[in-house]
Amino acid sequence: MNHHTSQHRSGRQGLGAVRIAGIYLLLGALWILFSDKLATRIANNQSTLTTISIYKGWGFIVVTALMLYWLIQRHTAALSTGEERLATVMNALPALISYVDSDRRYRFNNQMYEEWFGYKADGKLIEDVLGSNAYQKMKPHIDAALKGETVVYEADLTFANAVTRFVSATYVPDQDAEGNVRGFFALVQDISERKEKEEELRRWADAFEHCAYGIALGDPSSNRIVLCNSAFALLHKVRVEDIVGSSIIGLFPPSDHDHVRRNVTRSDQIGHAQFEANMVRRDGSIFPVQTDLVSVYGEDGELLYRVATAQDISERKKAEEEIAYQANILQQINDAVITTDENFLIKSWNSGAERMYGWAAQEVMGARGEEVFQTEFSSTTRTEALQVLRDTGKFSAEVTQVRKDRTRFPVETRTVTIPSANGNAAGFISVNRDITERKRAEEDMLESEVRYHRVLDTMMEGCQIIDFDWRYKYVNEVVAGQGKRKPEELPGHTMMEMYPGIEQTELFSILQQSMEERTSRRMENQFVFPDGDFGWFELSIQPVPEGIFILSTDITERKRAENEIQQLNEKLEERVIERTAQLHGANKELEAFSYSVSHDLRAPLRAISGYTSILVEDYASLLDEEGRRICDVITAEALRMGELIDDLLSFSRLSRKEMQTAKVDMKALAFSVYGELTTKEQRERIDFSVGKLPQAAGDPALLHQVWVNLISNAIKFSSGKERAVIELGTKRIEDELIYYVRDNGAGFDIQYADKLFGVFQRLHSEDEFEGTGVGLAIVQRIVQRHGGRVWAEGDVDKGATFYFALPREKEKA
Amino acid sequence: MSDQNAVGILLVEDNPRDAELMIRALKKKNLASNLHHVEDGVEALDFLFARGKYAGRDMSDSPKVVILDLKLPRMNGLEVLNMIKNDERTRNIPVVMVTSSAEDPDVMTAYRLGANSYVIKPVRFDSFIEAISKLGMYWLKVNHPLR
Repeated sequence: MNHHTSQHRSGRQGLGAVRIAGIYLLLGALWILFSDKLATRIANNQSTLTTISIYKGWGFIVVTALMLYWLIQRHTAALSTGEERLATVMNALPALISYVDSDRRYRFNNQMYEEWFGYKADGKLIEDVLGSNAYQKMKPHIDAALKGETVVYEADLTFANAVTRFVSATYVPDQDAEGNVRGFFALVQDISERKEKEEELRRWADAFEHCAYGIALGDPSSNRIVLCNSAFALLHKVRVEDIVGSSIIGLFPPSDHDHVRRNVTRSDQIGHAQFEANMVRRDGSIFPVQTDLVSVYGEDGELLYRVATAQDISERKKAEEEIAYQANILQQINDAVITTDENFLIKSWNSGAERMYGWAAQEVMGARGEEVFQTEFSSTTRTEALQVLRDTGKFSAEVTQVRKDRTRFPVETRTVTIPSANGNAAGFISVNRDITERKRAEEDMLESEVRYHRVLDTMMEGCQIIDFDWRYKYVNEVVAGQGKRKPEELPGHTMMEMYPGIEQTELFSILQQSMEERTSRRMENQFVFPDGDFGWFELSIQPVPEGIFILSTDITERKRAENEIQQLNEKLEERVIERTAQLHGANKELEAFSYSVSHDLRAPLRAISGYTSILVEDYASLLDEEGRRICDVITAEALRMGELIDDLLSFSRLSRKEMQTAKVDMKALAFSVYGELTTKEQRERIDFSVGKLPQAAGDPALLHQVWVNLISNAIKFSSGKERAVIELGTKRIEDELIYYVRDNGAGFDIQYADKLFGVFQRLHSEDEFEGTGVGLAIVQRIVQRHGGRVWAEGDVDKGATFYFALPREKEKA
Repeated sequence: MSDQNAVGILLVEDNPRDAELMIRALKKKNLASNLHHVEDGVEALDFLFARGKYAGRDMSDSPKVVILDLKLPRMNGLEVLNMIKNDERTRNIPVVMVTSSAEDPDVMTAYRLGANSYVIKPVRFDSFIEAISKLGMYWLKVNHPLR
């Protein structure tokens, strides 16, 4: 910029110089033209002309010289005026201004230089003027400026005259038109004072920042925090930048707002306020602080800002509360807490003491302890007690003391010395407790323990208490006997001593569990004695305060019996398996026998029947009526024999058939059997009635057979009656379900009732009622296989009732 | 009946009474003309496989039906059945098992081995006659054999 302006100015100056030179050239040319014409006109001869020309030439030179003098004179005057003015300005500036050439010599410097260094620096080397110390620090900057860079820097420089100054320097290079650096201008300012101020400010800032108290600066117009230190932010558990700008009153819980505002007002009035308040953090937690508030006013009385220090006093508060709490406890405690001075004069008397002794605090304050308490020592004397207190600093005993109402009571007292600085007693604290109740309880306990031991002693079961060290604490006679010991041998000894190796037994590990887990256990244990004998014991193990309590019952005999039973059972089982196998074999044989019978007996019957028929067919002419009748009889008997064989086989099959148990609807079954067995015509002459027939549990096919046989019997034997009456029903007796089939038929003689159910047993002739005599035997067999029984009632011609009872189904849960 | 020498029925029955009664029944219906009667299982197999005393027989001339009693001396009916049904040459010959009792556990075995029918011999003569006649009618006249 500077450079630019100077170029502009020199251009204008150049233009002025051209004008002057032009005017001069014009005037000069006119002069030569007209002066020569005039001279020739005037001069009449050559010599005159020569003379005139000489004067004219001299005259021109004089005029030109005078003009030149005037011009130079004017320019020089103007120049010196500018320079003077510039020097004045430069000298007036509170800075060092200089021009340094490329040889690092000062070409110009202002007056400040002389003031600083005491002489003019012009033409001298920088290093010589400033000293090599300062020069070394400046050198890199100078080098840079001489390379054409503009340099600005701050540095503390110690000059040749040993003065150190903090300077701010600006070097501006001076370049010619080609860009060659001819030198540079230097502007140097002394900023030592400013630096000092900065330093001071920094120290204050440090102090502010590192202050252990929270400090915050509030803007009174916005009531917001404008500045605070880390300690303050830390109180609120946030960062400084998070709290700056926030509302001051918002830092306090609403309940404290009025309190805080009052104190702010006070501070604004008198300049400062000191108060305690709660502050609230962003997470809602509240903490107490001690605050010092200062209101700072400007010179014109305007409130500039408020400064507050804050200190977290949670700990202090807690400590105060703790002390108050303890003091309260001391007051509330049931024990009497009494302090005395070194002469046993009472100094404090809590409410426990008031309750216990009946004296109010003010009544006994300052009184002598022994006069108030009238202590009686049982196991020692007062003198001895004092001696103990003096020697050991403490004393405790059970004593008796007196109340205000003169009654005596047992007291447990504990007294300690309050030491003073010089080592003597400064006073004493006694904690006394009324032990009337405890004494009574102890006596009761002793009595109940005696009673309880007496009970244990006389118990049938073994009782023992084992303590935590596995020592027998108590054993009764029974348990000692069970363990083959005398009762007096055990107490005081450990289980391991009395029964070596017991630690390895399962019993011991269970005892240990009970002991450690404090749980009760029950077990049956086979105990092997050291002599190899053993016994069985049922143990109940119970944790008790002393350790564990074991109740033991000798079950050796029971175990022996159990073992025998088990062995017998096992033997029985074997035998059952054996028998079952045998039975199985027998069954197989029987089966084979049955088939053989069915084959071998039928063949001859076929032959008899067949050949008789051939006889009748082929030899009819040779047979008379009687002969043919005989042939019919033979055939009929052969057929009957076939039926007998079939019935016998089906009867024997009943005992072999596997039973399938299911619920059977007896009513439906009876109806369907009746339908199967009767024709429409038959049903018309039978009064068939069915009462209640509950469900039965059994093999449906077999029960079907029962109904078939009984109902067909009833039909058959009542067939001789005009109107047959058949009635089905049940009776319920305890654990049996009794079904019956009653008819009004031929009945039977009751004295043969036991023969009814035999195989092939018949009470009627074949002529009267046909049949093989197997039907009822089958009924009996089936019912018996169901675990039931059959019987019959009847009278000749008065009908019969056949009963079958099935065991009631077990009630299902 | 087209072939005069062809065997119609091979009756395997040890009981001579039963055999006589059966043959009589079949004769009455004109079904016994080409009937061959053997008395035990071994002989039955000799006949069917043309060996032993039947060594010269033409094996391709197989009976239209074999009536086989279950209980036989030497080799019982089930064994004979098994041999017949397990040989390529004889397995297509229909075999009717006859027995005295429905109680027989061998009924199931017989069917499993491939018996074509199972008939109970009734004690009653007329029933017996009827059963055998129907049997003969069916296998000789009604059934179309596999040839």
